[in-house]
Amino acid sequence: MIKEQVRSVRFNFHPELCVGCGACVTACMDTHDTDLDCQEPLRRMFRREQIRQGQIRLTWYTAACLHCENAPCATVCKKGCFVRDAETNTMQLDNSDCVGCGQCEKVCSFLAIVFTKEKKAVKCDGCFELLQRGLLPACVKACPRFAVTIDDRPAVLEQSRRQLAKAFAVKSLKK
Amino acid sequence: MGIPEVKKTVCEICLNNCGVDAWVEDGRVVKVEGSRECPNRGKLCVKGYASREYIYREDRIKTPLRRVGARGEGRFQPITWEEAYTEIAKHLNQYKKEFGADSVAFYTGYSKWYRTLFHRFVHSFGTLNYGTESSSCFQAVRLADVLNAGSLSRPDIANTDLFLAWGFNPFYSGVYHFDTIEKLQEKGMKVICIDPRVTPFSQLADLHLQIKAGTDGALALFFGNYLIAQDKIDHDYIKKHVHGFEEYREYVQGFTLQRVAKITGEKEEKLVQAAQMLGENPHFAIHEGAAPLTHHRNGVQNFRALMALSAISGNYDREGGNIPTEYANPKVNRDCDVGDETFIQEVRPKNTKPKIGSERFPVWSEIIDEFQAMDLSRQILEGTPYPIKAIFALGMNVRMFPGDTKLFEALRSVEFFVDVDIFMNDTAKYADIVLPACTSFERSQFMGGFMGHYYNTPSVRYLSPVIQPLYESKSDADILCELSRYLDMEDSVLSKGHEACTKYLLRKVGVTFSELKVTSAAARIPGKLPYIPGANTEFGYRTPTGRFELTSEILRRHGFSPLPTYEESADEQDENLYPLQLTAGGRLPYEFHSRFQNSRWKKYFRPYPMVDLNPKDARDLSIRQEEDVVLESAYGSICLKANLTYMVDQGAVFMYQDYKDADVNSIIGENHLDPISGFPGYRSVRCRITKVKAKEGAK
Repeated sequence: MIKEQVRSVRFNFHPELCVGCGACVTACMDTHDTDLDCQEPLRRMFRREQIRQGQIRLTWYTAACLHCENAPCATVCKKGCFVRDAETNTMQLDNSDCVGCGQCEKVCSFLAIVFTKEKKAVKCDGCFELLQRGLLPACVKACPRFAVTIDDRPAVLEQSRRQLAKAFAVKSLKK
Repeated sequence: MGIPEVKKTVCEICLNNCGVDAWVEDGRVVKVEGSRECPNRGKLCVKGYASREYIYREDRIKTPLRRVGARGEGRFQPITWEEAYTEIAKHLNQYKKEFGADSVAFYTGYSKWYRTLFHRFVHSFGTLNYGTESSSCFQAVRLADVLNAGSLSRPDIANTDLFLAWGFNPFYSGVYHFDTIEKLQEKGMKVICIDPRVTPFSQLADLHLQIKAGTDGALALFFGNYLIAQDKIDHDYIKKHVHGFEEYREYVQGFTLQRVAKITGEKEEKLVQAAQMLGENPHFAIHEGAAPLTHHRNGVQNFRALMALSAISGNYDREGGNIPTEYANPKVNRDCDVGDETFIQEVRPKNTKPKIGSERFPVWSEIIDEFQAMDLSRQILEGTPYPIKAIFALGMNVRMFPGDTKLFEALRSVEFFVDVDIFMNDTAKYADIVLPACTSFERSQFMGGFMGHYYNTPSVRYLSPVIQPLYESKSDADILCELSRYLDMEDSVLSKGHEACTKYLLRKVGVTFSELKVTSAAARIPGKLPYIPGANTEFGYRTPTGRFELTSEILRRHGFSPLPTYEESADEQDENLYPLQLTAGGRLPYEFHSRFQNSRWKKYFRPYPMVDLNPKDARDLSIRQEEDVVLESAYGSICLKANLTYMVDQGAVFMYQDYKDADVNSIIGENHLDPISGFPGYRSVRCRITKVKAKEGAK
């Protein structure tokens, strides 16, 4: 029996490779027709500056949904806005019932949730339409350093989650 | 979503000409991606991915316009192309008749793709008054290179052991270059990054020298001193091909480790480490950035000092070194040449007046076939040595000029001013007639000449439009060709149109237009092989002595120091009053000249003008992140917000140019120029920063 291939996607981010060039951010805006008058981009960029032994170290992060396995956003949402897409394994957000309670934003460690001017939650859809055609998500394709990847090996996923959660817990991140 | 058609074009927001796959649906671009087959290998940068916003922006100029308000006010009335052309031709021909063709100044800002056509257009009109934004970008590098060895050159990174990444940060200005560098680093190539800022690239280099902006010359002379003292020089090459070595050797002895560490502000051990790396890697290539090194009052000499290292180590015109691109002897294989120079010069006018700026910048005027635009405002306002009655400009950006208020004043007083632009900006608001240009997506374009270098093999490319021109806009090339007919210039090539010009250029190349037109792919020029390093050296360089001139005989003749001498670039203002050094124009990834000033997408990254300041300096001044500050020089002040970052060193402040409400060039003196090139010293201006107190904030 031939099994249909599932286009399952899990996102990673590798801060040690990111150079803060911003290509993934505009590629995301281009693909999603983001209206900046209404909301922030679905992938956002942050910078962290540290001094270790007199040496300056700059690290960049871009934040968007990682489409987690046991996604807490889906658990806390009382309106059931978050639905797992069976084919792509991405977490999809239908905000028509969203009341803007902000619970999903609170539980997300990866700064994935953005609110529109109308207080509706939005987030990365994994470039759903591109995935359905078997094409790479825009940010993954755009990154010149392969800092944004799709890779579902548990070790890679775990490392990415750990690094990002730690970085985003820090308040001193700059744009 | 239907199924969009993927069409090929290039992104011309900056000069890298990255290939673009434009997804087109119902005549509209719906998405962009990088072309895999182009040198950018499927990638675009933050600006390239913003192409769609760029094309469909609301401030696009939609029709030809005639000014009805005062200059600068921005009140216009739409007119037809026919009316516009007729009016322009009437005025320009009238000035030509009454005051001579030289009374009209022709100028172009960005882009560059139509410049061969435009230069010919200017010659056919009958004047040498052709000027470009290269009066402050790129041509000073070429000038320094020509003074040294008669030719522009480029680093042969692919074959080098050590890459001197002097003021080089591809992540902000040409991302795809890094791909190559990273692969070469893995194979063992070493990289020394020399940059006054900590950048993503400097973090990936083997060594980063964070020197004070404008002290590059002193550092290069120290390296020269070290290489000579350690006998790591190429005696054979020096004996046969270098002029002035003894004088140079004597001069560099003054650039000791202690002295240079003090000048540059970098630690002695790091300077030694860098010098040792140079000594250990006999094949090194030097990056020749267009702007960062020459935007200083000592810019040309600093750059000459850099390239002197290539000469004394024998790396000039050698594999893995720096390769010349202009050759003295016609026998040398001009690999990427498609005859642009002949196209321009075959209609060169005779009996013209000296170009604008010839008196003030004689070295520039002798070597560069463009007028030095930094003298434009003076000549318009003073009317000497002869009056300028009209300006015909493409993409002019007054905010690029230091002391730009004077040029705005000049534009108010000039009798007739035409500007062609994609967007309505402050410069266009001064024009009597404004013509709407289109973007690269909306036009056909011939790519030849130096473009071939991007493909590593001599090649040409022809692109068809991927969408129809928006509104009534036209391509710059079409505008020039059509206008040439109205001007009765009797240029039988230009008047036939852009396609005919392309055919004319191609007639000696060996690829026919009909062959080229059917594909968007780059076509290799048949029979042309890449230039082989060393060929130019064999015939001698195009300098007065035929050698690499460490002491330039041209500079000596004009009364300048023939050696690549080092002098401080900052202005003479009191250091105690102005303790910080302003570097204006250092790149940000999401800005390009003035092109993204009105971009909404850019505003996500930097919503308002900001000055980058070291957090330690900020603490001393009690300034916090995004607080209102005043940036002040001896020439004026601007209000803006502070951005605290360790990317800039203590004592230095960085700021991007062209902001309308915080115009950094308005606080740079109009005469803060390199006397050799006329280049503005944007990157070394003494300044101070003060915090705005609450009630002053309203100003």
